[in-house]
Amino acid sequence: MRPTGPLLTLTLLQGVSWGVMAVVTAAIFGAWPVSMATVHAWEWLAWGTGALGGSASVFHMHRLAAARHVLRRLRSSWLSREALSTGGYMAVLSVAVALRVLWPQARGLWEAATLLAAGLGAVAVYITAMLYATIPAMRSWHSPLTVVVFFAAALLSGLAGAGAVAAWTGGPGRGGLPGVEAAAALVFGALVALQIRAFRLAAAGVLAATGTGLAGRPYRLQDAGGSRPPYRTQTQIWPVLPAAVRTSGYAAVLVLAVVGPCLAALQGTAGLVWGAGSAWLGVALSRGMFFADATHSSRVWFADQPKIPSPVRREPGRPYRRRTSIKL
Amino acid sequence: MQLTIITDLNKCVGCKSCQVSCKEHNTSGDFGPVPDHDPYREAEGMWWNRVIGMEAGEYPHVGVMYLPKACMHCYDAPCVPVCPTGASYKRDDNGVVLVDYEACIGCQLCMWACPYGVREFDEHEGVVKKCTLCIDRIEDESLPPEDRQPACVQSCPTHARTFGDLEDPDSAVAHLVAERQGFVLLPELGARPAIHYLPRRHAPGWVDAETIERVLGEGS
Ligand code: SF4
Ligand code: SF4
Ligand code: SF4
Repeated sequence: MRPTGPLLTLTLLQGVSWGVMAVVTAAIFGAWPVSMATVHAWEWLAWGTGALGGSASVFHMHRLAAARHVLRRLRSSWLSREALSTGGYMAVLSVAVALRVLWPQARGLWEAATLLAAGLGAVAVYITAMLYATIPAMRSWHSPLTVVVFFAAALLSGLAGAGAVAAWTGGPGRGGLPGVEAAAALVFGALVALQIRAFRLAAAGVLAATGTGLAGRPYRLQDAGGSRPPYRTQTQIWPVLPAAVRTSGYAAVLVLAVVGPCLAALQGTAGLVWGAGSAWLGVALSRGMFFADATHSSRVWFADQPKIPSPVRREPGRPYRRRTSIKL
Repeated sequence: MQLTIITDLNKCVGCKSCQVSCKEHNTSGDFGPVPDHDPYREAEGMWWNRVIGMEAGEYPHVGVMYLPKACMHCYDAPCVPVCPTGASYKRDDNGVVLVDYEACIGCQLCMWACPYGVREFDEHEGVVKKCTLCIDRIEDESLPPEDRQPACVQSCPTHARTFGDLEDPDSAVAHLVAERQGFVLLPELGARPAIHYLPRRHAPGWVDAETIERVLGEGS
């Protein structure tokens, strides 16, 4: 699947925005001894990233003239629902920001609007993730793991953003954040590892036998009917990543999104800013890999079927050993 | 009614006549021109029907197959419910899946949802296009009845493609599917395509020169 700027920007910034709002919610419930200045700066960050992400989604539409129809299929289309939920989230978040700026004494109202926005933000992230997870043809994404990874990425990037802002605003809001961010990074790393395996299994599950009726294997593609990389008119497909690119891409994700924030946490508040930069880069790269490494079912007509050795066949002279990993 | 095309994989010789005639008709046809601004230089431009060529097995046990692939006009078309604007729809009267270009925002979600990779993005108009089952031909009553069939069906030199109503048990396509074990592609993805293929039969064995002489002699 071709990774595009608007999709990367929307999904990443929507995640940052809601992740920061989750931190704000925790702060309202007293998870951290935090100054109001810091909480307000967090809310601005959530609003800014959410607004940027929402604006980016406009560029994913290639024919704005029909944009007025986008809510027509709310009953079945996750994209219709995404437009509604992301819009609703930003509207309520804007009300919360406006209440604090224009009517600072109405703290109760601000808190209610903020908590409502955080709840709607969670719904928006869920809906965005479901848009990807509910497409059976996108073999790599068609899994509940996609939803879990989207939430973990949102939490990590939100915590990282909130940490950087807290380091910048100073005050007591920094306590405990580096440790929580490191824990989120470890969870995210574990989920990315699961996702790598799920993507490999998905790639191995695209079968020429059902895609062509040809039972003999291996098969080779002679002619894809005029399709050629980078598949300008067929954006559901993307050239298969070379193994070296895939390996180094995922290695960079794990270093940036997991090792970086954990090392930064060892430095306490001093590491919050560079730890945030590292986490954001890692999460952004992981989203890039989410698109670029994904297998669509139509790949059966675009690339040779990978040769996969029998996992249970005994090799001559070697004891029986069940292979537990799939190498492509 | 569910209109369909059945392709006999024994007869398809990979000549790409259907691929080219589809492009020719839909570049000049009524429904939606294929937008290749430079079709003779951009071979990788838009094609609504692509003939895939593939080989399987290892020498000397090798098989070669050609597979014309266009929209499958699926019963449970996954491209339809994902479309936020309702631009993608399936007609109730004949089962043809179409795109209303006026309502399409070009989000391409339908391209991800289609298991068959047969939708194509028109960069110039910002909308998604695909095989219409030549709806403009099959419903054009000004055409003589023998021309009211898809361009790719009409142009096939080996008559590998047959057009008709899959839900009419007396139609040629229903007979072919029933009698020749018609199959669909990627059935495990649940789209229930209307387009079927007829599987290849056992290839004739080695024919030696003596047999050829004998058969030719019988004919003379
Ligand atoms: S083949 Fe693809 S585009 Fe055609 S109806 Fe099925 S899902 Fe839709
Ligand atoms: S690209 Fe057009 S037809 Fe496809 S899902 Fe989007 S709006 Fe619908
Ligand atoms: S039915 Fe018409 S539009 Fe569809 S592949 Fe055949 S010629 Fe092309």
